[in-house]
Amino acid sequence: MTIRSIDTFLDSPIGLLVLLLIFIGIEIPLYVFLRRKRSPYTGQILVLVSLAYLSLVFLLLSFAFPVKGQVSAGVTPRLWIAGILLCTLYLAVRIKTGKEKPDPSLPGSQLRMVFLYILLSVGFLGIIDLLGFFLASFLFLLIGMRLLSYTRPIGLLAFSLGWIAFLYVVFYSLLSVPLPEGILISL
Amino acid sequence: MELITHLLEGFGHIAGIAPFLAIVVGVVAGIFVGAMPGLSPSMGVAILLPFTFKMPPLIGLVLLTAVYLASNYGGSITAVTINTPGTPSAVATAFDGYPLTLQGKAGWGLGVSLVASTVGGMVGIIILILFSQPLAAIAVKMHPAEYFALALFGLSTVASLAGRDWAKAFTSALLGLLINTIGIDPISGVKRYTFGETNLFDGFDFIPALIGLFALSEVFSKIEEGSWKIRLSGELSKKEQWPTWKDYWKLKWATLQASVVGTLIGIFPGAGSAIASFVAYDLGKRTSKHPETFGKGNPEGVAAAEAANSASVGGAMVPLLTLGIPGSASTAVLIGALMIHDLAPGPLLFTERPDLVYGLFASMFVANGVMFLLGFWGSRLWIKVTKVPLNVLIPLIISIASVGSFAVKNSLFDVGACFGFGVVGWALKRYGYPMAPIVLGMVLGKLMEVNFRRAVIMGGYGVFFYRPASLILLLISMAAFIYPLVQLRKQEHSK
Repeated sequence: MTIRSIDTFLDSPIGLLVLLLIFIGIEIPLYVFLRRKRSPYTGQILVLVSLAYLSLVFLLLSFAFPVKGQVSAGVTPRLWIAGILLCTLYLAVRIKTGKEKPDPSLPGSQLRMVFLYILLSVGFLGIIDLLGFFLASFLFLLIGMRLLSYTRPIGLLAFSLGWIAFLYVVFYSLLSVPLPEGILISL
Repeated sequence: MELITHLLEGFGHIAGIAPFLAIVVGVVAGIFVGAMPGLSPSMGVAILLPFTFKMPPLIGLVLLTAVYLASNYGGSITAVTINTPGTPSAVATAFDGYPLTLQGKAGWGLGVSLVASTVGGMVGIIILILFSQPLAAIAVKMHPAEYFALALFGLSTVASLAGRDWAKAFTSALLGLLINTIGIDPISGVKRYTFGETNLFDGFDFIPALIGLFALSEVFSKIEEGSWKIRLSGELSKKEQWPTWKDYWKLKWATLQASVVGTLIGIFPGAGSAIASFVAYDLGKRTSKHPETFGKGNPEGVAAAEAANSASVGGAMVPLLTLGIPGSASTAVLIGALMIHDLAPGPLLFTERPDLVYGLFASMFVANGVMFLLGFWGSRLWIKVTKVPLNVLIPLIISIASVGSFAVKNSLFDVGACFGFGVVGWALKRYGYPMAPIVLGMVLGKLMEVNFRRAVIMGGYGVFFYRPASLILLLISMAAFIYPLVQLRKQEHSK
């Protein structure tokens, strides 16, 4: 098995999935380990490891690029990768020696709400094809405002409907942006 | 003298209701296109192009040029009010414009951006009229080695944007450059890091990335802070502050300096208004008496970025009119408009159709004036956006971000990419990695890579040092990289 054949496998949808699973397999145990050790740099270390992992994967994949002429397609990515690795190394040394500032501590941090919102955004993206852009947006706006403690029912409806009307007139009618109509409406 | 006569005649050609209406419509459309994330200036010019088929050539060109000119200003409106730059060139405007909004001074951000845009636009046109032909001749003689060195100089702004966290800023910039290598290699046609996904063949589109990194990352940060029950610019009862003419006057040198820099950078084909605004912002910070307040709501930063990106329009018109070379996507569409009317851009255009060329120059002056008046009135409306409670504004921003990302290529993949960049941007920002260098890396990536490789193919690796212009630019870039770091060291030492 040559590096090229590994690269060819990795540079495919299944390869991407494998790379993602390896990434999760590294990050989660590392997170648990750092939390147990009560490291003040947990977040920063996770970011550095992510950057180093990304760089190494891209470096590995660059060896599969065909070499044509004096400067092949892999030269510049390798140059940037070398830079990222040097910077992460430098930052890792600063963390090790305690020169780097610890992770920020946000009193009253609403991390749970951020993840809820990310999930809501992913859900919105997922139902656009099914419900169409306008209906999906309407639901997203209603739930999104409600999640952030906006409770006035008239306001909820007025903002959502008004915004959808604005998007329809400007983007769909005037600028002819073919916003997805959704499978349900097409049926 | 001949120049002044031609210009006066040009004003005569556009004195009428039809040209004036074309300017007003163009400016309104341009401001709107610029302010809407996802709608680019080139898209705005392209959308209106079919309407100009039956118009007289001068009126058609006046309309399209007004769209191009005003869209550069329009991008700053959402950059200042909701940290969502409508155009890539407005990214640098957001650095200080948005902090001003957070301090309850959105009026300052909007006012300064409008005045600086108008002044920058005027300076750009004056330089275009006076020096277009000799400047264009220099620009086309640039070797790829010099283009690479110019892009590297653009990247040197990272050093001054970074402050103490320079290693994180460099990492961000390199990440932007690396992201830019995704897709089909522009020189050899090799697919790089596409993972068999056809949507990645052209790489990540810049606009969704920009919206995600700036708007969505900020939205997620606001949610995390739990500050969604307040308004961006404080309490409603607070009277909005606008700068006085005296305040604008204090920014004259920052504005003029950025205008000249913006015009000069705009002349180089491919460099574009985004690079112009970054370089001018950096220069503004270096020459300011208060560089430490840049990025925290210094009006000088807004003035520098806005003046440069508006001035770059005049610069981009130089190679277009004198040589027929489009310096940007928008000017490429403008070339199309000229050709539709059987006009060949180039040196002959000045001798064969001076009425058209100087009429266009005159119309640009008028368009700047109209932009100022409409912007002055419109800012009072736009500022109301900052009064909307965040728990309403946040879902609306996410919604407009998704429409904007979709509109670029009518692709849901881009909407997903925008959300992805938003989450990554939020995570990186949380640990001190700035967003601007990532964007800068993405802006400069292609220009750097293509010219680096072309230069090496043409003259080997030593070519960057053999050519005097390239060597000088490289030395300046090196100094620009090192100087802020040395300054920082000195400051830390003295403390």
